[in-house]
Amino acid sequence: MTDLIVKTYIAYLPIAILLTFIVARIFFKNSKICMLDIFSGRQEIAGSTNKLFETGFYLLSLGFALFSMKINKSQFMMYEDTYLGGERVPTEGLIYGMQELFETLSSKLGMLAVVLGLMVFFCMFMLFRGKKKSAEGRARKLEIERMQQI
Amino acid sequence: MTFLSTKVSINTENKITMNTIFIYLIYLIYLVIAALITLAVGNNLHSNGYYLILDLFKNQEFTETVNNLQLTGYYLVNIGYIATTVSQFGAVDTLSLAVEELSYKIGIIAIILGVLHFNNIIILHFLSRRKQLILNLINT
Repeated sequence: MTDLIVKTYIAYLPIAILLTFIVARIFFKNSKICMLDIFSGRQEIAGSTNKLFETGFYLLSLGFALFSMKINKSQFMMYEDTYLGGERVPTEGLIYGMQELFETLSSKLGMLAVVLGLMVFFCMFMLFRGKKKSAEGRARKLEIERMQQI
Repeated sequence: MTFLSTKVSINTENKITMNTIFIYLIYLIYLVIAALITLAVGNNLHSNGYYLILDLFKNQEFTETVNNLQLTGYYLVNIGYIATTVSQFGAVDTLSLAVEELSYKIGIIAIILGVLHFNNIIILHFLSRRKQLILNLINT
């Protein structure tokens, strides 16, 4: 039992970390342009803000990946116990096979993928909000300049 | 629990078993990973947050001060949390239990840091917005 659970962990960890890194690489390569637009072309602050967001993204998603790694043993026990006359009796036999391993692994990775998607949408929300605010600020500045000229 | 029982066994039998060495190894791994995360993230935030604060305050000396203060506070929070959680390890007898405990602890550290980090960014964002509003009021 323990051996199979450790095998599941060994399969889970690299996939989870790789998935997080791939998602973060794709997202933050493309968000750089948006950041440049928000900070009106100032390279330094756009790059550093992008980096800050990347760090936060990594922390939250890798943290969730590690936090939710623990396999609930009752999930495995479900296959062990059968109902016999209203009583739960543990039985020998077909338990802890590869089937449960793959099922558990896929449920964990699916949960991680959903959380990564939510994180990406959260970051996109922040980016679009920043874009709107910076556009408003620029418009206000233009208006003030026009008022001063008059 | 396990740690306590092994401690008692060391005192009575005066020898270190394989189990004790394994537990110490787990603690060592935990401390090393936690220290690495703390240092890497702290360094990254310290170097990248500089421009964000500089953009907010437009004053280099003040920016450096605020940045260093933030780094100090970050280290204090982190080291305090790590030090308090070392004593709250559950049973780490077997490999699977040890891996679970380690990943759980490190995951919690990362999540707390991430939440604090986004909180910090949002606070800085609101500060800069307030400052812009005041500047606009002064200009008009």
